[in-house]
Amino acid sequence: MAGSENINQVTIADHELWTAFKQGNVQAFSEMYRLHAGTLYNYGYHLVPDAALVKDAMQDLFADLWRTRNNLSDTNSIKYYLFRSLRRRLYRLADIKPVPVISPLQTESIEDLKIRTEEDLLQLQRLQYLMSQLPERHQEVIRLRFYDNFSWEEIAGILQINEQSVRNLVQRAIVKLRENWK
Amino acid sequence: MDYSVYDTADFVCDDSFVAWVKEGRDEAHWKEVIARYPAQREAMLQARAIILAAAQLPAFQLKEKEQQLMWENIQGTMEPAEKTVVKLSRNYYWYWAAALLCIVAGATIWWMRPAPAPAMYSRLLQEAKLEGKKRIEEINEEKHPRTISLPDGSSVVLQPGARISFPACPDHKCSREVYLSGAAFFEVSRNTMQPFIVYANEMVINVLGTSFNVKAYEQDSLVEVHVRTGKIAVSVKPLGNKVVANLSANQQAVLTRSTLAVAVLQTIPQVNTRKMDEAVVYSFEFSDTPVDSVMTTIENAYGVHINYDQALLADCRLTASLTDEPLIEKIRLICKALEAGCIIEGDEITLTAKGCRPNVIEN
Repeated sequence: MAGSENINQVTIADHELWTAFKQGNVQAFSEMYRLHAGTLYNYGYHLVPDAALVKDAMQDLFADLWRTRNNLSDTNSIKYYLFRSLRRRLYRLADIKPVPVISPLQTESIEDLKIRTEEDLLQLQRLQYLMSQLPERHQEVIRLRFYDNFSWEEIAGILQINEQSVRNLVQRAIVKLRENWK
Repeated sequence: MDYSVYDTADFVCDDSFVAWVKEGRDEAHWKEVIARYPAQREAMLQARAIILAAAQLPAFQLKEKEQQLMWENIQGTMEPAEKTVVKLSRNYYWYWAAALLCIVAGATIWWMRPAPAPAMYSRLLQEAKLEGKKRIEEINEEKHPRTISLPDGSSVVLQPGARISFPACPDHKCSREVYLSGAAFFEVSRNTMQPFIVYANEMVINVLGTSFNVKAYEQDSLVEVHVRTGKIAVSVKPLGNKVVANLSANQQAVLTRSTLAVAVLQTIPQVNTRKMDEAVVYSFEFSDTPVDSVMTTIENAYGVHINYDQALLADCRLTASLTDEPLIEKIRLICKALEAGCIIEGDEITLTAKGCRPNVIEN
């Protein structure tokens, strides 16, 4: 009944892809890259708005994955694993503190989200603008939860904080959003 | 649950609420909440707007070329570094090439034989106990996709090598159950009284009037269905009729045949999935429309490339209603109107027109 089958959870196919990759299956590895390169880049760029750095980090990440594939632990969510690894890597590479990014205003709609009227669109753009003004950590949790569809537990794992802190971050972000809204 | 104490943030953090806003799940439950807590309406609307805005945040896109280039770099690191080893592995290529040649040759010889029906497909048909019922089987032995019209008005674009079996009577007379082996794109006509069911290897797809792609090759380890518009329900035949996944537009279910596990994936919008996704928002009602803008509409909607002599057709106009036609049919009708020859090869469509005849099209 409830939204228990989170898109990023319960992916036995993920598990199999990961196992095949660990056994040295190049096709599985290439599939992992193909499936996740786009979202991974988007996430990385929001953390550190430096295209070359993000690309380097991604290449290193995948190269290391292949090199160390025999020693990797199991995972049920490749996306989660990749996000967490990329984040760690980027923070190590960019010893500068990431600056918040002001996103371009063109929107790429994920799915048919039934935004019809101009009013809705204006509201959406205004909200997205307000989100881009939030502290960078708030932006990150919102993005991980609603854009990348991670569960609370997964976000906690990526950010290396506990689940309650993640929820608190979102709560605070919403309060801030509402202060500036309308 | 007492929703009267909820505020906007609580709704935003409620997983079931998010699932309703983003995927339409738990619809009845949340409709009831709105009715029961009218004072919470505003908070719910705000929460909904926030979730939708966040779900559609602008993305920084990795260009396909860059993604490819990065992959090549990664692959570069996957080869052993020493030169001698590189040489050795290069020699191996010849073994691989030779082996591949044998496989290709073998496959070609095998292919020349009349293709036997794939085992899984035959077994499914057998198990369905359809003897005595009139059924039609279509096999696409051509090199390009082929459109099949079903008796109920639905259409199927069969990819090369795909085969389909369907009942020979109109849908109000008998069930709309089809059996598929290979890859196909379905556009299903709406009929809530008679569900449309696709059996594809172990996967069972229950359709509620929609369009979707199926990939179910006998030899593949996966069965995939990718929803373009509308909704479908997926179940796994060996596990009984319990629905294991409900999919809506831009979602994909992948069944791993060895484990019978089904994974649901959200289509990543920027990679390779533009094809057909937006077809639903394009208008295919053309009234005295210049041919080049008709072509552009179709190119954009389906992600195909149409080659034709633009100068020759510059003054041609078309009037046609093509909304309910699948791509292949649209192209066929346009070619017919223009008295053009057309070749469809994957994403490439080539029109050879002689210009337009005054009685058909006049500027």
